[in-house]
Amino acid sequence: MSTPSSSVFSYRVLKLKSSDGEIFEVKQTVAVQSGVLKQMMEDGCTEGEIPLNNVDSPTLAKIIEWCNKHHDDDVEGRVLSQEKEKEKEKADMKRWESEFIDALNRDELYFLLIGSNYMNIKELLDCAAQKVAGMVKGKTPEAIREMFNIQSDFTEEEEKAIRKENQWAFN
Amino acid sequence: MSSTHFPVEILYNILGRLPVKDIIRLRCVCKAWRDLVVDPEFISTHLNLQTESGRCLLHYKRCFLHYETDDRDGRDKEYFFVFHDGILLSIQNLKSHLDVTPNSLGWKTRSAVGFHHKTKDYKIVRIMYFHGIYRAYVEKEPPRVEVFSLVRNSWREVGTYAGCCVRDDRSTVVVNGRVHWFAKRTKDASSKFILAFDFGSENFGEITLPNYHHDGESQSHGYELEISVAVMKEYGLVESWSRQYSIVPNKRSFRCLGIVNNRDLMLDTIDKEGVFSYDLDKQEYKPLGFAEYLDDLVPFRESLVLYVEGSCLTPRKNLLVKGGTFREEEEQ
Repeated sequence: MSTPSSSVFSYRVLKLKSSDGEIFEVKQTVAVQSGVLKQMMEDGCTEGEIPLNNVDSPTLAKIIEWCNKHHDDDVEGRVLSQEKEKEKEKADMKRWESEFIDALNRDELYFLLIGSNYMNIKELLDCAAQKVAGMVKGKTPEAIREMFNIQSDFTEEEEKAIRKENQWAFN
Repeated sequence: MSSTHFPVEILYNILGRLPVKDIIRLRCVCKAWRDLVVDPEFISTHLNLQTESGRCLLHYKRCFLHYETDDRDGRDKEYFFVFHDGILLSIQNLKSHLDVTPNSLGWKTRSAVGFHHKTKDYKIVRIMYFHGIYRAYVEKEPPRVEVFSLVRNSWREVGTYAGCCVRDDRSTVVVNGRVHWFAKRTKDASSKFILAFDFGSENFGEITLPNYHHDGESQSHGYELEISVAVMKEYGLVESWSRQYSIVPNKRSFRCLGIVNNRDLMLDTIDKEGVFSYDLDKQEYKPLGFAEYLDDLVPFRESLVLYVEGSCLTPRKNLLVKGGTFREEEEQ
């Protein structure tokens, strides 16, 4: 196996197969952001198509868009001498991330959470989880049940008792 | 979106980012969510995800937010409120839990609380100065240092730390399992440094301050207060100190109370509106709506870690700590 620093290795691509059978080609340098794919590369078992049974093609496209934006292949070559420049780049990235996440509807967000968790892409998972947490914050239990499609398994009395016990949180 | 298909770690990752009040309110969503607050795995996740929340407590007219060994008002009024890592720990009727040496009355103490992750134990450290914190006195009689452990439920003397004194109690910061204070040497008044106490090893250490100001914090120019903010980018590495900001506030400030959210400088001003926050990035002032004199202002974050009757329900699966031993809950 060639060394990771050689350009031949850097530009090799992985073939990812989504749950609905679509093939996506991703540079290895981009794919390392996924803990799962990184492990597979280290184990040398990335020949052929890699099936991702938990990720459909629209979600995988989104995940790859995220990873392409975040991979630092082109940053390495440049010298960021100025602290300010780095700070600015960080701020730009933050803005891009929030625009990326905000543009998703609830279902897309849901599948992205499942997909990034499955592929072990921590930054994306955290970003999506933070977004959902923001949606949950301040909402009533009823609204949350609707949002997460949860059926209450309490009797009326039980629910009343919990509300009474935790009254301060409802004020 | 359906939580029934969510792996539980995703659900924890989402809900662990919420304020405690939301988590409590969501207890009546369903039975599984009701039990989150006592699930050690969730408590631990929540603790790790609560970073800078922008919350702070105001220490005002010496009401409750401070460790007091003062016994004058009798036992009923004793409260023990301490901070560490942003966790506010409150213990009522301190004496029933903590055996405070009667002799400690009248001593000047500096204290702090820390959570030790390895032993899952809350510890309180106090440095007791016999005759007040004056260099000459401290030089003559070194302070006594004691550590209280909630698991052991007792105080233990861990020796002394001679040669320096902690004058400035407002500088208490707990990070990386250690509490930090600005301290001065008894021999050389000009040398200020950071004294650190490790809650794990129960040892002291020192960190050198950056050298562009004597006190590393603020410098007076008449009415104008110049404030420099320095950051130690890599913990413990003195070379990594770097000056992030240096400002002369246009509000007439006389004190910098601290930093919230790693961004908002809290300034006590002589403006009639009192305390202002100053956003270092946006360079904007915002009044806090609190015009009274503040003793202190402490940023904090919330935690679901439970402290119940001399035992800690710890963020570790199925473990209840009591009387110094770990045991499985099932074995009760």
